[in-house]
Amino acid sequence: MKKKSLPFKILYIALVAVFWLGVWEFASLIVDSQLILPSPGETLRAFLSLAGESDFYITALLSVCRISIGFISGLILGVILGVLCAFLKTADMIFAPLRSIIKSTPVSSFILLLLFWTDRELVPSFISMLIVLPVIHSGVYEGIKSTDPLLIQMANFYKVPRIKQIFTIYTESVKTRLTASSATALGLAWKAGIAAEVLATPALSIGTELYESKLYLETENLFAWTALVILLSVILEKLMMLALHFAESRRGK
Amino acid sequence: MIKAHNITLGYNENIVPIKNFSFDFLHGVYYIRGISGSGKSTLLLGLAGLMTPVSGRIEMGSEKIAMVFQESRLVTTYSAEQNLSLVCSSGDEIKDALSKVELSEFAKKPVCKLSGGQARRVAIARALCYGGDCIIMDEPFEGLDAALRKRIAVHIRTRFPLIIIASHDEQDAKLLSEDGELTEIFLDDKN
Repeated sequence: MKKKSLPFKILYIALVAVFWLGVWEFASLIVDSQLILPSPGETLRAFLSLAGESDFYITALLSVCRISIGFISGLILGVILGVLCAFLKTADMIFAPLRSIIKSTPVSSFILLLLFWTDRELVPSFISMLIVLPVIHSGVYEGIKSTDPLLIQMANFYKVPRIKQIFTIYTESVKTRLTASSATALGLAWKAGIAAEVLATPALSIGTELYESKLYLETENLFAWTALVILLSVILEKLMMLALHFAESRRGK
Repeated sequence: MIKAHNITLGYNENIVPIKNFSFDFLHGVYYIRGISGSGKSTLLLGLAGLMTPVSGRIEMGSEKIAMVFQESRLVTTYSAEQNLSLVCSSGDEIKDALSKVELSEFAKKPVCKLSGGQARRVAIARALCYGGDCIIMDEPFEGLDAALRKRIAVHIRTRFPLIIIASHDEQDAKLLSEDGELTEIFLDDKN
């Protein structure tokens, strides 16, 4: 199949964006109420007005930091637990109920419980971590379990030390799954982290701004903050993919 | 030296390809032949210590045995060089082994981008690099042309005093013996 050129791709994306902005504008005209559905223009005006304040950047940065801390903690814990559970049956049995609880408990329950147990400032990070952990754990676990047994037999035959097997053969098997899991987990961490901020209302956070926009019926601000959440989510995902790509190319040297 | 004492090798009660097999593999080239499904690969796995006999025992004279598996068993995202570095820590030995199988120019290319024959040569290079007193090979020259088989065979027979090979082509086994002498082991349904 012929690969599309860059200008064509940009044009394609622009056309899709124009189409959906048109749908939004049209819907806004029909609803005819800024309180219920502000138009793209009003949202952009609100966004630019917010962007003119210094708190806007501090708020965005602090939210990114809170969620990133949770994501990175979940990533590290997920990898450790995934490796442990894949290699040690006892660890797998011990953590199985915990995994089920984390997977099936509603995020809002966790948020409310954490509000009792910890400082509200810490809740978004904890929630992001809790959301990321099972996704990463499962990616690592499945990756290890699906490692080609013939390769393992070869490595054992040639007396490749276990630790070297983990960092080579198993890692290669886990890599693809971990990359996919990380992208999914980042999106989930971002969503859950913002939801946690809405309920926990820590100082200087996007979630608190969203909550207050709703409280004071500033729908255009609610849309503007939501647009920022989407924008940051896309940027963070791209940055993570770049980092993974960079790490991979460094490792290949 | 590898001695098989009345070994029976099987995967379950119904699939027992090798029954009561005894043989002393001492020195030189041993060519295992037989029709498909006669148990050649199973016997090689047993001799390599990768299958525990249901009965009987295998006596190993050497701790270090190299093997070219039926499947190349390479980490496909790794380069030829990286695959060899799993079993061999010396960079010079890796380079030497790859040059012996005439793959020096593809040393840094990922195995998934090599042809089937080139991947086979990486598997042979891995065994050469690992070394030992014995090499066990299962259809080692598949996908290689006649001239290349001949050149690679010279390096194998110089490196290993004991060679056990299973192949459909007797010529492969003869190439591994300096004077064309080899001990033939024919596996039929009853061994």
